[in-house]
Amino acid sequence: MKRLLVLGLTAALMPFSIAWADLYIIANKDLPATQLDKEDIAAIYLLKKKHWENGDDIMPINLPPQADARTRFTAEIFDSTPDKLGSYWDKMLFKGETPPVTQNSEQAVILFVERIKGAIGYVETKPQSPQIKILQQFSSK
Amino acid sequence: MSRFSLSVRLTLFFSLIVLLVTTTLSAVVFYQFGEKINQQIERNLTDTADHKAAEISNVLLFERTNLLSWRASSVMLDVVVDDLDKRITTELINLKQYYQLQGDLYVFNAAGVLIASTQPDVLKTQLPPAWQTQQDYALVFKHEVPFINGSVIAHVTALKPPQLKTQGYLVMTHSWEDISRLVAPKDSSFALRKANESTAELFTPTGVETIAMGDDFAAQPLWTFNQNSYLGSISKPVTVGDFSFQIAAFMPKKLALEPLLELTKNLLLAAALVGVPMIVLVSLLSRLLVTPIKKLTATIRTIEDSNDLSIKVPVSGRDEVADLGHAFNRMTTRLGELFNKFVVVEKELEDLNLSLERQVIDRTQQLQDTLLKLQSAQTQLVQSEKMASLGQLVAGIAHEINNPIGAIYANMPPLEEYIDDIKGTVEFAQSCMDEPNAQKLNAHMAQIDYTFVTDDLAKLLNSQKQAADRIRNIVLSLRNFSRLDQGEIKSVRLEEGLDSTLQMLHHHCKDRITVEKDYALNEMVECYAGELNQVFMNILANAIQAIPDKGRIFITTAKMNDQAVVSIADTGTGMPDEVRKKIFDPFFTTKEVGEGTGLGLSISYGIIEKHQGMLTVESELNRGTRFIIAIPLRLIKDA
Repeated sequence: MKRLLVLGLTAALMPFSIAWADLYIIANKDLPATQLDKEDIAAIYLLKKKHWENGDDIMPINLPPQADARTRFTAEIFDSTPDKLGSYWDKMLFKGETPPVTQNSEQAVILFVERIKGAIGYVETKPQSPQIKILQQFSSK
Repeated sequence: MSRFSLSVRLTLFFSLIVLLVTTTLSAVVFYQFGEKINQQIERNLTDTADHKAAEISNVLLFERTNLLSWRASSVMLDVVVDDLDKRITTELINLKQYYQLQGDLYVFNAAGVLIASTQPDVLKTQLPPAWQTQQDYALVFKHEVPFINGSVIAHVTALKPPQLKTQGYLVMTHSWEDISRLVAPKDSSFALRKANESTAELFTPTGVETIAMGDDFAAQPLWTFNQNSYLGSISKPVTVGDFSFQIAAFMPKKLALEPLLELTKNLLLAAALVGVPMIVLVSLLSRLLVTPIKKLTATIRTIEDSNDLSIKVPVSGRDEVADLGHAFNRMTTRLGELFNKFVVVEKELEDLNLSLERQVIDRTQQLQDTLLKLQSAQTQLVQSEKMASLGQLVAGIAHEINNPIGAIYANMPPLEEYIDDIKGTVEFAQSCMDEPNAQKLNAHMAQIDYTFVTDDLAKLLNSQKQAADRIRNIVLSLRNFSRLDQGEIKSVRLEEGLDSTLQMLHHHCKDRITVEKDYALNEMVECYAGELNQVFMNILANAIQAIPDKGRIFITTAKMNDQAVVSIADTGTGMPDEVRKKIFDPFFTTKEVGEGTGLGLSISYGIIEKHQGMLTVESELNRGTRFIIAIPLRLIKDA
């Protein structure tokens, strides 16, 4: 019932967010990887891929469920909704896996990734920081 | 013997017993109870200390637990982004409100810059050195930090997300004031000792003092601070993080001893509650016991004082004292009887004694009298024997002298006659002679002074005649005095005896004493003449001796009522009364020893008594003495 309501709301909001911005997958500059495809990203966020190639821990950063970027990210990578993915992470939490860290704003995500070497995040604003490299970019449709 | 009465002693004795029992009981109870109390106090103190330690550690542990759980909150990951979204700040404020935290929460980032805090206006402050730690968790005990007023305790924990290194620090503070309130002194005082330190902080009403306290807490039985003594006990070590401490609890000794004092009071009260009635009872009992004895004693005293054995002891009851009373009464009765008998016997004995004494005195007197009489008689006997022989001698001499004197006397007249004849013859021859012859004769006669011779011859003859006469008189008086017939009763004229005696004493008084006689008796008196003469001799001799120089002796004789009275008085020295009273006593003399026998007057008295007469004496000192002899004219012959 609740999900239906949310779906309805989302559908209702659709006409106003028709023009989506670009989505950037960002990581710390020091990471050896330069490119990351969709499957890798999905594996990381589904807590299936936990280490980079050099052995560092991967630390995925999330945005709050109501953030546009997250909806966009969920749709882009998983072709799903934040709600569905949220319940997946809840389950994973019960299994002892730590879900992606949630940051409240894109600035925070950028700062986080800037500071934590193994962190990976997604933002709609293209970061200008030299400490950040963009691993993937999803253009607006 | 004690000088206290039986009842007092009994009371004292029982009081002592009560005291002893109470004291012993008290001592035992006191000791046991004291031990228990001490143990209990120690246990209580330990409990209190443990409790306090637990209380404090609970607070700290609770805070620690909370802090560690809060640290794990995902929001804390925002430390990485310096709380860009103020989520940590919000979280901290929420926590503070929700848990009603007394202190504040602080989050520092990895660079040690304060990025979130419940304390306003302190952001960007640098992490204080006290809070810098390499450990996951640290309890920083009482300390100060620049931006907080007052001392605080701080829990410092590192914010270290999984798979990441330390990203910052979460700090929770707790004001020291609040913690110290937990250990503020109430009934007990508390001290906090950090592990491995030799001092402890003692919490007093005015603040915190540092006192010495090592690991050997139990070795010190008594603690002294604030001028008071305390009993102390220490808790087990309590650890929060790597901070370890102990809490010592102290109780004022006075307070600790209060139950003991209470106990003492109660014991004393109990002792008094038991002791006082007991002593009263004992004193009553002893009085009950002693009163009959006292009565008995009083009665005995009364008997002692009054000597009345008929007094009886009042006896009541049937106990031993009553028996004693009965026995005593029986005894007094018996004693009374015996005493009465004794009194009678004593009286008899006394009488007997008295009469015996009187008898002895009488007999002694008789004996003395007899002895005196005997002595006197003996002396008289000797004297009379002496006199008798003297008398015989005198009589013999008188007799012998009498004859030649008689011859001389008798030859006197013819001698005168012859001389006259011779004178006539001479005258005749003268006349018948011639002148020359006559002249021759005259010459011869002148030569022999014839005239003087003839004159003197007459005188000589006369003198011879007188001398012879005197010799004859003396001899006569000697005969008269000695009276060869002495011892026999004769009728004599007393005057003759007196004269004879005077004659014999003549040479003693010749010129110095005049004897005046007044003889008015001139009657024959029947008497022992010789002995009577002796009396005269004694008295007259005494009279002559009593006259020192010249004087007179008066001798009178008279007849008075068939009595011949002879009075011999002198003008001598007389004698004092005390001498006068004794002159008739045998062997009494005023003369030198050896001069007088002291028997003269005594014998005289005896002689006059023999005549049933009276010999009395009157004397006046320096005037003279008078002896009066009174004897009956006719001697009354005694059977």
